[in-house]
Amino acid sequence: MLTENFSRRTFLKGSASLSALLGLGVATSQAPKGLIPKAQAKSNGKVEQFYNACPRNCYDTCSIVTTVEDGRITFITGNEKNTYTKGRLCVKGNTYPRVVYSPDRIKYPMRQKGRGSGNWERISWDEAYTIIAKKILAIKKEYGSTLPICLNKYSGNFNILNYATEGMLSSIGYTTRAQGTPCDPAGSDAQGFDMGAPYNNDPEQFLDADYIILWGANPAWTSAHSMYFIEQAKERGTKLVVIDPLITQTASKADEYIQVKASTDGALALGMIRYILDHQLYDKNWVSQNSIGFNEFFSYVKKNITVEWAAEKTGVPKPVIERIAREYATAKPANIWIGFGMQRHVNGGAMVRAIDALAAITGNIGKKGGGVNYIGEETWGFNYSTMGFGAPEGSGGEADRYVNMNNFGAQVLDANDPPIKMMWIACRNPMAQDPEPTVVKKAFDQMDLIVTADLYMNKTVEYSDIVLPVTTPFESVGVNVSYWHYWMNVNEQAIKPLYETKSDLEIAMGLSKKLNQLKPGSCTFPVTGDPLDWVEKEMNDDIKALFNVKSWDDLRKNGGTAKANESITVAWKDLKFRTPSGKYEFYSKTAAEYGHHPLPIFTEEYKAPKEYPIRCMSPHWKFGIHSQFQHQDWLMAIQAHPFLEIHPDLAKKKSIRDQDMVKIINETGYMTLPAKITKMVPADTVVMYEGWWKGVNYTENFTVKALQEDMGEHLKGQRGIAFHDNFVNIEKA
Amino acid sequence: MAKKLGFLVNIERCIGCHACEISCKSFYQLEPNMRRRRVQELPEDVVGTPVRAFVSTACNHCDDPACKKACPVGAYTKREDGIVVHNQDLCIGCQMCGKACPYSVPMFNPVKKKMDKCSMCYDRLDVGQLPICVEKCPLEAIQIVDYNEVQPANAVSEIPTFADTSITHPTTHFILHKPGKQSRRF
Amino acid sequence: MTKLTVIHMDQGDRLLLYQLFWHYYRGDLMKLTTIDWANLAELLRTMTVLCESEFGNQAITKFDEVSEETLESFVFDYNRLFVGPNRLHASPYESTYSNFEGTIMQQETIKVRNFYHYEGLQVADEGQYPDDHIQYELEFICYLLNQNEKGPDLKLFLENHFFKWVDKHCERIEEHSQNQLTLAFAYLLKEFLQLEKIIIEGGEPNVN
Ligand code: SF4
Ligand code: SF4
Ligand code: SF4
Repeated sequence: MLTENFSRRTFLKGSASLSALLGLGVATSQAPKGLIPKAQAKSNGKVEQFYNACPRNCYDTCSIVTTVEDGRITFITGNEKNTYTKGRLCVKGNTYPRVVYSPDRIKYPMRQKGRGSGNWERISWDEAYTIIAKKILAIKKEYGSTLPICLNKYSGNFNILNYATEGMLSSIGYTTRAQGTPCDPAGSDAQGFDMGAPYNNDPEQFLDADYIILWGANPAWTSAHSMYFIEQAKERGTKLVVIDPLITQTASKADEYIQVKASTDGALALGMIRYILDHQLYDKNWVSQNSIGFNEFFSYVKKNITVEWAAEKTGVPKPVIERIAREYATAKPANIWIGFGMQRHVNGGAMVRAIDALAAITGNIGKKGGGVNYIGEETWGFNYSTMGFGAPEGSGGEADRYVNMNNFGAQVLDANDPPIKMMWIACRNPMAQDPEPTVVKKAFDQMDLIVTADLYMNKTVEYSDIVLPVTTPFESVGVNVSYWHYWMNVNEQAIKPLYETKSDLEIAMGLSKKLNQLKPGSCTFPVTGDPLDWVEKEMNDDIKALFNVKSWDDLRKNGGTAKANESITVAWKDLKFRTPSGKYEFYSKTAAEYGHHPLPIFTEEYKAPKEYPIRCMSPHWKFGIHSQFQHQDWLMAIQAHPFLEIHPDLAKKKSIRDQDMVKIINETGYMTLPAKITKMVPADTVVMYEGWWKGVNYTENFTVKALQEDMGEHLKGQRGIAFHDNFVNIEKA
Repeated sequence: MAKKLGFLVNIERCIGCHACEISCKSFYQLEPNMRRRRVQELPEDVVGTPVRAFVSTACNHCDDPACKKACPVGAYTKREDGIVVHNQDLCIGCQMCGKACPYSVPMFNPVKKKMDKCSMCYDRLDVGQLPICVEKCPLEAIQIVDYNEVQPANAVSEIPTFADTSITHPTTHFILHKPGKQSRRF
Repeated sequence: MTKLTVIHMDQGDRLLLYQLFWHYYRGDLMKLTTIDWANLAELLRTMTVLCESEFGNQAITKFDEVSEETLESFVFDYNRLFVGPNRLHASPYESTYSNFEGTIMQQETIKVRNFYHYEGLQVADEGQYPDDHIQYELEFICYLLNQNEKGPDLKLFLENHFFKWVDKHCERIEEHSQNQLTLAFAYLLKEFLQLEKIIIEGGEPNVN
């Protein structure tokens, strides 16, 4: 403070009277220390570069180079040493300097007096830990276990060290967890039944493909770096086919675009299969050597499927189905990429199984440049050492309890014995991203304490009791891998954490310390530790061998990014499937055990109710990932408000003109937003892109019911949500 | 012979992502509404079949720069290699250049009270680096071409939405979008 | 607004006011009682030039009349304006006033930092807290003001930094304040700023 540090003069006439007057001598302020004599060694104009990793829920999981001048980030771009990132970031990644220095960031731990009141008081970390720890201990005492405490954490930050939040909760006892994923469950289960696991080829292999079908995937918006390889392949003569109900940005680039009726992709695949079987275009050797149940499947198709039927069902003309089937079956290798959007239907899993079968009968699985590519997790074999401490002695209950993340509100409300009383939310914004937000709000209302750790004020923070400010990737360390490409990226600390922000790992250690102070032994999570040691602990021998690196620190010093060795970049190269039979299973007993038909058969799509005849799809948006990015000013300057895409025919029928306000409504909710008239959507469908828009008090989820997909329990614990089977009506507002 | 540098924008490759515009903004730390490069959506029937098509343009570094003619204080120079440079130190913010440019390229920066436009990152070019937008487009859809050296195949100098090129003779060229086959239900 | 050409405000009064604001923006004044506030009003009344100014007088009256309800909501309003967790309604960081979005840690921040360095000072947690938070700028001003030989430096700092943005900051408070105390401080600061400009620039006050 000024007086102590650099002035020994008789201090200010006024100061004395002020202090006497207001008792300032004893004021306990939370203000940071003030000015101090300058450290001798300071040198201005110092420019440094650091490696970071984009940890967002994105296929591309980029390796980043961050330029720091005088301790301040001045530029953020891609790492050239990573052949997938190629020194370039997507549009969202380019906004990172704004993410860090946004005026919207949460700066200090704060407590809200009256949930939703906007009356916040600042508290210290110690106070925050104390309030939370006391509540945890009180709950444990009252209910005999920590099961009334519920964690809802998901995809906001996939840094491996962020699993500390899960670890911390496990370290206090058995708790309730939001389980599952709104992302990929039905498709992952489908691939699990067929092949034992979802496993995709290296996307850099698009260059080796002779034929590419992007099936309900829109990489131009969701995976710009993959799109580069696809465009390159196209220029070298590879045919690009896009199958999608919408004319997406990717579809606009296709050599051939096929507009399929939403949720009938399975019928299309089966129609193609019928044609391929009839014309003997399938790979008899592959099928006989590497699969089981082919004959059963063969007879199912012969008996139940015709190309005419498929044409009728899907809206794709018979000659087109036949031609595409022939082209696909004769191209070697042919590559299919199934988008997550395609399976967000009540029959999503079944559709993915049908498409898998198409790839299998043509022998495209296990081939470089081929494959039926959906998602993969081959590079995720870290130690997860933040998660391994286990429940303390004397924890009540026997195991964690699960509620479905995809029907979170309702299941929290239903949970009894014991009820849920406290919620910890991290890397998530359920009030904006969950279906049926009114039900989620009801669940919040039932809590004694809601703690949210976040970067920004959002709908979920608004309804929390305590908010904990977290660091951006640039303010903490970590390591990231992708569910799509085959690189591992280190994340260095590039700048000091701003204000009083902390990483999820530091929060876990801090809370554990407080719990152990209040009640020794009540939390098994370590109370101290250097994040650099923690991240080093993630690297085991297998990971090191796979990526050919000595250590995290070694990688940090040598380019910040490493690619897995080639033994795993072609999925199922050894044709040893992870199914019970070790073969590709057209006939899956496991599927049957989960109550599905053992074969990849056709299942009907969800039918529109009479009052709500229009399908409303909510695909991902080019300036956002869920509730992230879109709110940054640079992106707001391009598009500041959500809109509804409507086909001109439908618009005409409803007397809606471009930019008119449109009310969109169903039994779950309604909202009003401007229309964009465009032929990019079919006339029986409207589109509202997914995301969190600043200053807008609704989200696309206002009309989304928690309708289940057909699969998900097998590998993900819970089924997903059929986001795209949402039916509404619209009218001019 | 001197160079004649110009942008070559590949509309066929461009996915309208705006990364070029935002990486430029980030590198030069510009305000949200200041655009040295801008990405514009083309009419959706531009190639006959409906598509989402975009074009990314910056200053066209014209052969006959109207901006330069209009500037009362001589803030504009055209370099030998063709780059049209605006000197902010000389600029008095009268906005005459912005009005004269057929492409409305020079923008008024209300904070600095000066005009602002793309310089083709000449200081980067001069040390052998590429302009930021060229280096950062994830699709590699923007190039710098020396039009005295090469006349790229398929490159055209006019596209719909682009003002009459006979006034200032812009150096920017475009590769057009090739429409694919579509089988649509509507 | 103030129209004075002769300013009766000695160095001690000026220091006292800068210090008062410094304490305010450090968050030291959050727990004062109505009596404390009345005492403050009394102290401020001894500064004739303040009492006679329109907003100075209003501010002092508000300190005098602080009610229990005002004290209750004071901290919430203070946080909404200057602390968070919401987007700040009246950001206390200089750089946020020189760009549209209100982004922190910009070029201005570094300029302020360099000024501190030039005087042999730095923010204790440099890089963690933006150097141009009003709390640091006020502390720096007090430091310079307390040493006669630093007059020219003080003038430079006030003119290049403090005077450039604090008016706008006060305007934002006036626009968004929902509490008599936060409003009173905005009035007092805005009036004091006018007086300071007269002293520093030695001329007519800026009346717009
Ligand atoms: S959002 Fe995806 S593409 Fe963009 S920078 Fe992050 S990882 Fe890369
Ligand atoms: S970055 Fe490239 S692909 Fe994206 S809009 Fe710009 S030119 Fe088009
Ligand atoms: S595009 Fe406009 S600003 Fe650029 S050189 Fe031509 S006339 Fe000048």
